[in-house]
Amino acid sequence: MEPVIELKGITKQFPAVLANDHIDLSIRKKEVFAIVGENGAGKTTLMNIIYGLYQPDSGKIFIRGKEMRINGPHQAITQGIGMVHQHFMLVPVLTVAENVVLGIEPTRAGLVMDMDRARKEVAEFSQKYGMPIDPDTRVEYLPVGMQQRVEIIKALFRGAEILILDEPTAVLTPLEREGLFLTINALVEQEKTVIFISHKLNEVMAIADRIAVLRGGRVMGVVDNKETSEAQLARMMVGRDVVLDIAKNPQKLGELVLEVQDLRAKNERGLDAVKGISFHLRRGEILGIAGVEGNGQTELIRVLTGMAKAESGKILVNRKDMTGASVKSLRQAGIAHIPQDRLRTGLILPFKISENIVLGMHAEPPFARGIVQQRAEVNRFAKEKEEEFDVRPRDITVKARSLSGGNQQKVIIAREVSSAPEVMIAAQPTRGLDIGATEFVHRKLLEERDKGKAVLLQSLELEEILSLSDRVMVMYGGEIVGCFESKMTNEDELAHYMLGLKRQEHVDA
Amino acid sequence: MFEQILTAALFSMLQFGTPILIAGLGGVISENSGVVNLALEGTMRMGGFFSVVGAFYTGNAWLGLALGIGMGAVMGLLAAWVTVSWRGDQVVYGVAINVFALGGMTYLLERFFNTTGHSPSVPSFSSGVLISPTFAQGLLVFLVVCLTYAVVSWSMARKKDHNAKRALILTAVIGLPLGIAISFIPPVRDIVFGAFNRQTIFVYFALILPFLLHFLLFQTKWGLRIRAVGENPKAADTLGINIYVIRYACVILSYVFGAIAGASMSIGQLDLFENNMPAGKGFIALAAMIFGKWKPLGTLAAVLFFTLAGVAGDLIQGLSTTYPVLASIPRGFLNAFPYMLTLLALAGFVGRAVPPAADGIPYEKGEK
Amino acid sequence: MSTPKLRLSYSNLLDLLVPIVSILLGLIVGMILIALAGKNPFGAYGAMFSGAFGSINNISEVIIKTAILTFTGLSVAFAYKVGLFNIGAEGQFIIGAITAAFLGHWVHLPGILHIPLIMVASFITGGLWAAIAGWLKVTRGVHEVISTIMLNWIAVYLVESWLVTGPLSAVSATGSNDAGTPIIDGSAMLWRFIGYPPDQAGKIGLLAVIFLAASIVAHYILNRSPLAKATNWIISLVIGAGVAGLSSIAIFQWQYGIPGARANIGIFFAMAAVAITFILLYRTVTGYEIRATGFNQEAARYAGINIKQRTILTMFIAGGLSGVAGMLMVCGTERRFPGVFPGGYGFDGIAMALIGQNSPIGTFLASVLFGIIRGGATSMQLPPYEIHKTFADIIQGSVVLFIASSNIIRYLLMLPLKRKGEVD
Repeated sequence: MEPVIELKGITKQFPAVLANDHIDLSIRKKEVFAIVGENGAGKTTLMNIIYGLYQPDSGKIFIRGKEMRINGPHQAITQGIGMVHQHFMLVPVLTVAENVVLGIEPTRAGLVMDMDRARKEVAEFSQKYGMPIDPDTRVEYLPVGMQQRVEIIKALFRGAEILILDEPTAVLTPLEREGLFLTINALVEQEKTVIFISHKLNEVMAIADRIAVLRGGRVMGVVDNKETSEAQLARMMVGRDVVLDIAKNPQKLGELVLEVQDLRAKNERGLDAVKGISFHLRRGEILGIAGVEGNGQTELIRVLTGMAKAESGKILVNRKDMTGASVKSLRQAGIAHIPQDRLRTGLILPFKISENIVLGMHAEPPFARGIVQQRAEVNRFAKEKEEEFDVRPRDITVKARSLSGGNQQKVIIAREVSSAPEVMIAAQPTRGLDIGATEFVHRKLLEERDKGKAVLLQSLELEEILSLSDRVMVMYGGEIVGCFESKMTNEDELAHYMLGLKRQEHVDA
Repeated sequence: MFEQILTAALFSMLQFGTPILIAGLGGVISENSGVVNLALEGTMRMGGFFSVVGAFYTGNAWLGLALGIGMGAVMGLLAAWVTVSWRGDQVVYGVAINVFALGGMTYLLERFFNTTGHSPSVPSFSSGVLISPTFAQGLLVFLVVCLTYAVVSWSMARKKDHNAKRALILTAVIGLPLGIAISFIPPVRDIVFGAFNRQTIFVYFALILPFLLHFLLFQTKWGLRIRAVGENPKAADTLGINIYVIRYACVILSYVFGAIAGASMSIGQLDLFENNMPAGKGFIALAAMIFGKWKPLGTLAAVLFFTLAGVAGDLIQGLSTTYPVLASIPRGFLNAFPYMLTLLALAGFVGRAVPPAADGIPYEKGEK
Repeated sequence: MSTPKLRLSYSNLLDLLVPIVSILLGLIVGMILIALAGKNPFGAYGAMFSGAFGSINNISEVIIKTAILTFTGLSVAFAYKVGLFNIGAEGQFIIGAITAAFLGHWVHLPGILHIPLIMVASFITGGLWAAIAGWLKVTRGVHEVISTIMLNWIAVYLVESWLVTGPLSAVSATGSNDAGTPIIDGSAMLWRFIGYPPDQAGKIGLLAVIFLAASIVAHYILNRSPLAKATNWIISLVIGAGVAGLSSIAIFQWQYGIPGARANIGIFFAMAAVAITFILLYRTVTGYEIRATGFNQEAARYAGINIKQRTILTMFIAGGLSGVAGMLMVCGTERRFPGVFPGGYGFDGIAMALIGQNSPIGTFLASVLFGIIRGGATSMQLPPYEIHKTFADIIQGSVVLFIASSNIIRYLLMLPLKRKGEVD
């Protein structure tokens, strides 16, 4: 049977990196074809090439046996290729129907839009593929899982026979993920082909027929689902046996340093996000916060770091009540923070490394005396930290925006660690980092713990949490539904709590 | 007596508000496509000046207007080229145009007419369009129809019903009879006559434009695309919509409106170019746009509000013969009143207005 | 490894080239316009530049224009550092001017107190006028472009159509027939230093020594190291000039009323202001926080910086700078608030800031250049060129437009490098 898409020798070079290196792939009709690889392996680039957003430097694309040049999404769509991006391409203030018909709007007399017809067609599609949705709701009011459905309907509306889903489960709750898998099965039954991009091996094993592994821009192999395993895929992805267990020193538990009592807080939309959280944190331990994105972890951290105010509840740092304290006083009390969004919250991109490395401590001695900055001292400190944390390039006058993600994170960590905090709050500290940088971050966090500091680690990666933390608590729906010694639990059990399928009667956190 | 004051006030409002409304709507169309246009003031100034120049050299007001519009189109093309194609900073560019127009027109005024005060009189529209009684009635009917359209659109939007056909039918069925009825009621009819007496086409243009733009933006497919481009250009791009064409069109239109607004002052209300034109009206227009939440009908409402402030000064002067205490208010306060009111309005505007999401952000066909 | 370094230093060079190229292009546009009018552009420009330096009076005019432009330019540039566009420089300028006119005539103090008092007062009133817009932005999200423009017009009307023609008018105060406010006290006038009799050479020599000494001391304090970069030297020299100018007050003991040109010590205040804003922005905690806020509010907030307070403070300082510009106009140039107020400096300040890339030194240099252009433009009015002096506005406006198109200029400047294949 002739493949529906065939790629031969696709190559794409970017200024700093060879994203796709002579890729050969062939995808059959009516199959679920997965492409896995680490961050930066070239998956999204490849898909963007198929969808016409990028042009390959060399290589050929064959659609249904015919060689094609895809110059833009428009052409891809005419060829029956639809793509659901990782970051949705929806217009929030427009309704579902408006988003779906955008660009091919049905009209009366070529001028006035016929929304009745649009609405009807959207309803038809959503019925056919088992994705009920209200065409007149503004997209911005829809939960993420529903928004994804709009994207899928959008593609199908334009006659997509081949559907590319780029990391579709990254933003879904486990329940929504199940719904997506059902939809994928329905699509395949309707003779569609689905290309599924992911780095989550368990999901890929659950849904895909065949799996291609990308590493460093090259295809390491294409395997049948039935003939492989997660471990084998992982090995192909990383090129070495992934050591999932990080050696940890025995724990030296100290006194109580952070105590949170019945904390409640709202999120930026004014909805309740943190609904009565209580836990304690001692010196010398790493407490992990596990949970699917969107269960209140972000808001919890915002309150703990002083960026948002709690509705009620108490925060005690070293037994002192710091509820409602400002960012500055919390910092002075010893709370350091590696932010989730390093570009937005952690760094000032146009500032030099030397200016970024004292951010937060810039107004105190030794970096300032009164109102005057002590530049010599700042520069000395910056050089020291660059050495200690191996920041490249070793030039303190380089602006932060010129650094790679890993080096940017190093600057932030260097800064936060150097402020000699009592409590280090790390929010998704290895997001978007490559293996080397990730190992570095893990090492540093363990170092802090061994030095007798307290670490609060929030992450979406269960593996990371389990291997680093001494204790783990799971957040679901804004509450802590379970707290465990990490040695006494495993990913499977935690997943149950994360999905809200189980909760502890009495949570001792 | 009261009727006369009302007529005079309405007349002044139409004069004061017309340029602001036209310019404000120019801002609306640009910003809805995602391009900030701070240059309304400068564009009004240039449009007003070049309209006078055109009328002067051709002896024809219409040709003068044509030159002004042409100038606006050229300016718009340049602005789009720099800010859209070359992704120049839109705020800086707008300010640059204002700075350029401020000094530039003073210089050109001197160059063409050897003065820095005001140009000589030129053929203009103000020696203008007289309104016959039936014309006024027709106008009144039309206005009522438009207002009905506005109300119908709004109530349908609230019920999440975006069907254009239904909206238009309802408007015709309700608005026409209503309008015809009203245009025969004496007090209303007479006030309108008086106020629209000796007004130029610019006023009519200004009054029709909000409804046209509303229709364009919310009932046609082009409007949908414009709004999509202004909110999430990347999404629109992946759907094959040409961001550049849409933004170019909207920016050029925006500058053309600005030029027309300026012309409405120089060869519309007056018959010359005064060197202080447009005296901040371009910025009041921006304020009206923000106040109107970047929507055409909202901008209309905002301009209504601001023109009330604008004519307050004249009103008070007119009333000062009957109420002498009013005469003691210094002229400076009266002149400053519209600006103070604008400021207070913006300050008191609780619930920060949200511009289109991609407003002011140049679009890069991302290759990350 | 050499490519990234080359790219980095070339991009720094570009930052300097872009304004220079924009200025050249603006001048060329002017030349084209002159040629279109049938006159010789080179001759006209020659007349303009030599005219600027042609006589004591002309140099004097250049100096006073530069001084005022520097202050309004700094006002706009400073506000930009926190991310705000201070279009309200004109209004703040007027407010500062009327404050000076009022305190200059209605308050009587010896010179040594009078001028500092007026300067501080003008700074405060101008600052408050701008702080209104800052406060509105921070608490209500009102776009500062619009609020400052409104404040401009409010200032213009309240001051010129009410105060100056009403309670503060010369007519009502002294019964004179002149429009505007009454002449300020002698003690409030800024000393005019040009045209000084030659027997004061000794004192002038002393001044030169003070200038050099102050520059060297400033340089040492700023750097504490022998490695000197060009900008540091410029700053130090400017500080030196400022110190020298200020000490000239003491040396020459406030002798005023000397016939001659109107150039006054305001220029030294301007230079001092350049240095002070530079130090404030780049050597103090306050400046660091202002810049951080301007670049990334979220990160600044996380660093414990009080965004709202810093924003309002910055607007206050910016407004204060324009206010002092107004004080310079009243106490230095006009000696009163005249009936026909020479406005436009506020808007010109915007141009200076943009051309100077919003840096203190850049703004100063731009002000010098345009002070020269404006000063010399009056000479272009003479035959055989007969170009009206507002031509300077065309040049200025064109340069600003080119600055706004900097992306294009940058691209064109990068072309030679691209061809060599060293840069993408």
